[in-house]
Amino acid sequence: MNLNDIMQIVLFIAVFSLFAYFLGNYMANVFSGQKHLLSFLRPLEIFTYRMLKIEHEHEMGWKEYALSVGIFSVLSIILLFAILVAQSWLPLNPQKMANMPWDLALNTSVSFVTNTNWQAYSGEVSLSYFSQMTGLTVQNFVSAAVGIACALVLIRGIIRKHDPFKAADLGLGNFWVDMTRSIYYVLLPLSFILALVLVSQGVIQNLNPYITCTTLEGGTQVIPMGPAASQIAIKQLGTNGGGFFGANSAHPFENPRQFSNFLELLGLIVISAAFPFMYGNMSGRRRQGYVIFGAMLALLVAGIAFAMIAEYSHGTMEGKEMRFGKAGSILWGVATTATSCGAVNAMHDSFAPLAGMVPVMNIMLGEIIFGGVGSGFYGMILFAVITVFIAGLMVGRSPEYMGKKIEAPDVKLSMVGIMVPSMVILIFSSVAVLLPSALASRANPGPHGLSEILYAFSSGAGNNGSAFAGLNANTVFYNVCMSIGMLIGRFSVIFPVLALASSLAGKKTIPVSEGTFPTDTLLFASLLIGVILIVGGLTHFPALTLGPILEHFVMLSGKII
Amino acid sequence: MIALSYLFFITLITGLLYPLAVTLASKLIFPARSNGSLIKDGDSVRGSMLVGQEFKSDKFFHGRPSCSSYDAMTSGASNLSVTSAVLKAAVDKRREEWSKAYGISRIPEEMLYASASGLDPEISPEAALIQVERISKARGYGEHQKTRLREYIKGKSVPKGISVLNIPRLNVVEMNLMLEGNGRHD
Repeated sequence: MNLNDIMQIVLFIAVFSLFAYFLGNYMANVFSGQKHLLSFLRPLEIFTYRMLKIEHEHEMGWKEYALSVGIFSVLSIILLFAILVAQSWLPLNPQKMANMPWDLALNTSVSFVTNTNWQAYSGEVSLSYFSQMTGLTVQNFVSAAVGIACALVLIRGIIRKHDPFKAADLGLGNFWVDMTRSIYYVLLPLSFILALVLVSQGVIQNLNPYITCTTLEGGTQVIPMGPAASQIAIKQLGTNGGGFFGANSAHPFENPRQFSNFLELLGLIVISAAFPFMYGNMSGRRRQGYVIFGAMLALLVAGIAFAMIAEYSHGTMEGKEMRFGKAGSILWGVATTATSCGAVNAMHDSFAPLAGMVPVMNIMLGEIIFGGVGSGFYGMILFAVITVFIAGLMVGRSPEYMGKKIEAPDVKLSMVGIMVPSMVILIFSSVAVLLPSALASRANPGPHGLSEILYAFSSGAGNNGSAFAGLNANTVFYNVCMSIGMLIGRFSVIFPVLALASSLAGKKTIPVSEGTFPTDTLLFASLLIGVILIVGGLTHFPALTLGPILEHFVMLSGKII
Repeated sequence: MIALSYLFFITLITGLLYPLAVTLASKLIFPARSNGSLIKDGDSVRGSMLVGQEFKSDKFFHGRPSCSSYDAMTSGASNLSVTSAVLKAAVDKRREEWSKAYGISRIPEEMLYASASGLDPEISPEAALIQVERISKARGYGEHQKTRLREYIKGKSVPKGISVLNIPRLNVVEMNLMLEGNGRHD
């Protein structure tokens, strides 16, 4: 590790924090319906509601909101599945890509709708431009917008003042309005700008057929083409992570330079990092936002430091690109798994054992270290609820968060959202380990093979999408099990979060008193981090011991497997 | 059914309008880069400046090991772990080949380990300098040309742009284009 590497990390943290601060304030204005930078697009927004007959003044209760999320997601899966299995009959297919087999299409559509973007296929040899654009790019946008929308509901539930004349369950917002604003005012403009800047760095964007060329030495090389930049921009910004090409952001056409790499890194974290600031702004209690941001940042920095040391001690250049080097690869690997992006610019499978453990752990902790856009924030609030509950038990105070009393149902809902994804990881991994056909998919034997399986199901349940990519996941077993895992991982958090929002919205706001445990202090941030590490550690430490930790000691003993 | 009409409408906006707008804008502003930074030789295309190519002849600079032999249709990595016996065997073989070819024991790390994409076009200045002797011999260069080649490499190794984000490295395709006396590209 040299000074340059450290400077690169410091620069990254400084720039994304600064951007996130301003973006958070901007988003607060957008989502509370105030004047903002892009207010001139308001007629377009209203036109959209009129044309689609959306009653945008209508406020939904949590059940109606959840139903809208559910129906919209199911329809999205069906449409995407239909496009993928029928792509050979659809336009914009210059390479004559065949229809996708059903299990791979199911996996791919669930994967993109749940914001996971796990890829059991390689884009350049399996997808038409039509599938990439109208199928995948669309889900990159809307799955991110769904995450933002659900986080907004939770924020509204927390900050809503109790109104005796209003039904307790109402006033959580309108799903279609939240979606539209997320897309029109946040995701689309940022993506458009980022896409163009990426093209300026050499990322391709065209609809040309592939080019067969004679290389300088006289060999033959087929060069893939396609509308890549437009998809890569939103894949980063929406914490989606599904690459246009199989090699994802390691591919020279997807991430050609160090500057494009820096921009893509910023993209994958900036919206998630803006959420705590937006929350502080909307609630009028900025310190509450800073505390959440601080806890996330502390966990991110710890992960980067640990992985850097591990990689510089035992790592190699295997599976890394020259233009990113070790530091650029590790920084990205930690950031892409702390957020639920999952795009990769190096192969995590070939990281040193303990450096490769950091990405898995980031996902296992529940994708709350900034996490996915929206989803990282609401995941973190679940932990905050558990933390005030535990703190209340320890000091004998009645637990409350942001002036709302935390009661048994709230704690139960939070626990469901935290525990179910972890159960998915452990149960599916144990099933895979017991099935010889599933074991056959491993690229590496021994403890690293277990890590590959653990990583896969963590990535699915955490809706991350990155992988120890040696695992051949394009089998019926993995395609189907991963689909189930991704669905549970997404909706076992979203539905409890919406219910929790409704429960909190119906409560009276208690004035701050001597008995209030303050949640805007360094003490609370430390407790929050402690709870996250203890819950995540207790759940996953045994499995990690048999995977990366065991492999680390095998490596130290000088053995190869 | 709002959900269905919303899905179709948003598909139109984000799935057609948005990518087509980006395509159009990039065609106008960055025509060469949006098309893949292609290397043109008259009417024919000889590759892309960004995508590595396989070089085996002594007359060219050689790039990093690639798990797909620089086939852009099967791009990817070995995904082998640090403790893998398969990886160790591959690295040992490459080390032996290099020490035999150049008579050196200290081999730049990137020449022993395969890249992530299999298409990495770049190597370190160190790895380029080692190859100068071999290339000069194959091309029949005199001392003067050899020195100029070394100076070219050193000149290219200076980091440009934001220096924090820069690792000194050289593009193998670009260097080989120069060797062929054909520096033209988009």
